[in-house]
Amino acid sequence: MTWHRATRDDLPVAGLWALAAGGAVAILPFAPHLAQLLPPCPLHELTGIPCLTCGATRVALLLARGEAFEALALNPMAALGLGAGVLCGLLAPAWVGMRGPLLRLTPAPHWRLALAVALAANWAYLILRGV
Amino acid sequence: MEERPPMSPEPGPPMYGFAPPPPTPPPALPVIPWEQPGLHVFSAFFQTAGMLLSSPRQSFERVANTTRVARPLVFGLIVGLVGVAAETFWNLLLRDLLPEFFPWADDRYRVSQAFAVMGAATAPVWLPMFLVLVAALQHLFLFLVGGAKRGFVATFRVVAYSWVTMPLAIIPMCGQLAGGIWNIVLLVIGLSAVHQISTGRAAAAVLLPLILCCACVGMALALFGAAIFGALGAGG
Repeated sequence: MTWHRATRDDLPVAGLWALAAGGAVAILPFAPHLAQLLPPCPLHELTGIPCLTCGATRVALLLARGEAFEALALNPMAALGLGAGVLCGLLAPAWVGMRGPLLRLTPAPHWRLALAVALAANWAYLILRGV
Repeated sequence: MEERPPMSPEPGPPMYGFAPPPPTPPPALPVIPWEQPGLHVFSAFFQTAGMLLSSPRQSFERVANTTRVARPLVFGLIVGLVGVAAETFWNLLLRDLLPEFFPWADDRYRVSQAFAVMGAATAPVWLPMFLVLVAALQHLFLFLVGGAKRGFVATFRVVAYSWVTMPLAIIPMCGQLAGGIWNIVLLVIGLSAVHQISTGRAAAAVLLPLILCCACVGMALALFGAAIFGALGAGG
């Protein structure tokens, strides 16, 4: 894990992130209707076991209504990922413009293990909670 | 007295040392047409699409190694919009046949016509977001298997160009399924070429989210395929 000052090379990714976050904000009024386009999770339907992303649509709808704690309780990783993704995405171009510090993670074994443990823990939470 | 190296029988420059002359580096491959400045946009688009479908490894090896994202983003949006439009068209046209192909699917799997049209109409807004989300998830799993040798932009480029299979949804019924499977193949080849990792590691990075994250997607594809083959069997 290393920190470095943002450079001009980081601007395209920041712009891309902001575009995606802006798109998420723009479709907020349509979110409840667009969510109906997504079919139910067949794994959950057939086996009763939630998949790793089960509840993510409901998390997005809760976040759209500003109910952050309820979203966090439903699927913590999806709530953190979506919430932080939109907020940080909107700020990213300004952050890079101010040459703020950026984190660079190298795929070292301990970071990969930490990520795998976090994903497994989140999935276990979903199964135990019966999402 | 110092010995001179033996004279070469072949004509050429005189050799005064034992080190062979440095090999000439192979000429760098030109980047794919879509990323070449100055080409006509339609010609570049169709050339790139054809290259990606016919010789994917060579195409991905020629993807530019820069931090710019505009061109792959536009490419992904064009093919994505064609795919969404085709999918919506066939869904609206064939929605009455749904119960025959998927007897297990109840009303929750049927989307109203108005919602389907609204989803397609708002695609230019949500498609870039979806593309970035898919690329981010893909990069996360690439990191998990230790294959993220290059940055997020490299993964984003592969995901955007692999969407070249989305217009296959123009083919009714099986186009989406074929496009989805072909997309997985392109992703594996592209990630392997761009991140310079083994095909096995790239396949693990692509299949892991499908198995874990989107087991639902995999199962839906399997059920879809089973329904088509079942219908074909019943018809024949």
